[in-house]
Amino acid sequence: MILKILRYILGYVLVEINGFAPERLLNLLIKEEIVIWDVKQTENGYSFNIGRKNLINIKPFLQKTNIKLKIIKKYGLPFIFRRNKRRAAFALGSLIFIVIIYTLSLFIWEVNVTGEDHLIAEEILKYIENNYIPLGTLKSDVDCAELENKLRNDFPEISWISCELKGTGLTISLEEGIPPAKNENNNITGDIIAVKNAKITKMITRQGTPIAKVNDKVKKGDILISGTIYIYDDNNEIMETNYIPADGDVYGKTSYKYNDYIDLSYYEKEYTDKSQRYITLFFMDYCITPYLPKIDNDNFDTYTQIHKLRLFHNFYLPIGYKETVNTPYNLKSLTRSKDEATQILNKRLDKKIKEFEQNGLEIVKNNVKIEEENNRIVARGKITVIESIAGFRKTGDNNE
Amino acid sequence: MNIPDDVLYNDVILRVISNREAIIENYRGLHLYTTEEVVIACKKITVRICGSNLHVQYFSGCDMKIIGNIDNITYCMNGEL
Repeated sequence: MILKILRYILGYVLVEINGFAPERLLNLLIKEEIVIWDVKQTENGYSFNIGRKNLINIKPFLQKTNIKLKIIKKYGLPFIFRRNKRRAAFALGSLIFIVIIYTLSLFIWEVNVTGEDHLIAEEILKYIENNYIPLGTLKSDVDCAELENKLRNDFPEISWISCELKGTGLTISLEEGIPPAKNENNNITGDIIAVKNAKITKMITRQGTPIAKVNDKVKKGDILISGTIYIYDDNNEIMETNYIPADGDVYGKTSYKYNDYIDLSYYEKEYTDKSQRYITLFFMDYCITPYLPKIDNDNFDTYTQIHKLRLFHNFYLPIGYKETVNTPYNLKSLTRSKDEATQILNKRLDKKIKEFEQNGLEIVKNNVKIEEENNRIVARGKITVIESIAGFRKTGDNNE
Repeated sequence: MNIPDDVLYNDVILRVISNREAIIENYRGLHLYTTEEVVIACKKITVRICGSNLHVQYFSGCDMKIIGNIDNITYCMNGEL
C-alpha cells in the first residue's frame, strides 16, 4: 500500500514495447536494476509500468535493442500538476484560503450571552468584552472554568453560569437568582438612624433602646433606635454600658419635590422619502465604504445593522458588512393645546407614582398642581409618602 | 563460517507459494516470457516455469515475482535448453 502511494506521488507510466525479441530489453533493465512492474504480454509485445524518471534512463537501451516504446497512460501527482499548470493560481488561492480560515479559527470572534434578563445579559457581555475577552483573543488563552468563577464573583446575582466554546464563538448561559442577603449588620454594634427628614408614623423595635416615638419629627442622621444600653445601679447612675446591634423597622412621612414641564410649541420630525442606504465592509476594526451617498439634508436619522460573516453555525469570522440607512427629515414646528400638554404631564405623574408604589412607598398626599407659565405647562408640587427611613450606623461612627 | 550457499555461490533462490506465485532471487535474465511459459536464466541453471495466465508482477535488480497458475517448474543446466 505504502509502495503504491509512493509510486503515485513520484509518478509512473504504463508503456508498451514491441519489436524483435523484447525480452532483450527486459534483461537489460534487470541488469541495470531498473524496477518495472505489472509486466503483461500483449498482442504486439509486452506492457509494463515504469517509474517516471526511469523512463528517461531506458532511452539508450531502446536504441540498442531497436525496440519501440509507446506510452499508454501516465499516472501520479507530477502529471496532474503538469496538466493543471494553468490553474496554479487557483490552487495557491485555495491553499491561502485554507490557511486563513485555519488561522482565524484560532481566535474568538463572537461572544454571546443568553439569560433571562436582557439588560443583565447586555451588561455582562460588555463587561466580558472590556475586561476578560476582547474580540480576537486566542481560544487557547480562554479558560472557561476560570471565567465562570470570575463572573460569579463579579455578579453575585448570577445563580448559574456556564461558558462554552463552540467554533469561534463563546456562549455564556446564565440564570439570575436573588442576591444573597447582606449579613453585614450581624454582630456589628450600631444604631438605627434616620436617613431622611421625616415624621415617624410607625416604629417596631426588635433590639435596642427606642429614642424616637411615633409622631416625632426627625432629621436626617438622628438616632431612632440606640444600640447602646446603659445599666443603672440603685443610685440611678450608669454602672455599665453595653453595645448591641440595634434592629427595627421605622416608617415615616417624607415628601418628594416634583417638577416637570412641557413646552406648548415643539418640533416634530417629518421624514422624507429619500432614505439612502449604503454598505460598509469591515475586517476587525478596519472599515471601508465603497460608496458613500451624499445627503442634502442636515438632519437625518441613522440606522446601522451589523452582519457578521459566519461559516456553518458557530464559525464566526471578523469579517462582515454594516448596512446603514440614513433617513433625512425636516423639522416641523407645531403647537399643542393646553389640554394635550396637561394630559401628557398627568401621564408622566401617574408613571412616577406607580414607580413609588412599586418600590413599596405608600402615597399619602399628592398636591402637584398643573398650571401655565411662560408658554409652557408646568407640574409642580410635593408628593408625600410613607416609607422606611431606617438606616444603620456603626458604633463609633457618630461623629462623622 | 556458516555462509549461506546462495551468498557464497550466488545460487538462485526460488520461493513458491502454493501454485499461485513464485519469487525468484539471484536471477540473471529472462529467456522467454509468455502467459504459458516463463524461462529464467540464472548463474548455473535455467528455471522453466510452465502454467497458465502467468504474469510477472515486478522485476527488480535482485528479484522478480511471477503470479498465475503454475503447473510445473523445471530446472535445466545452462546449455541444455
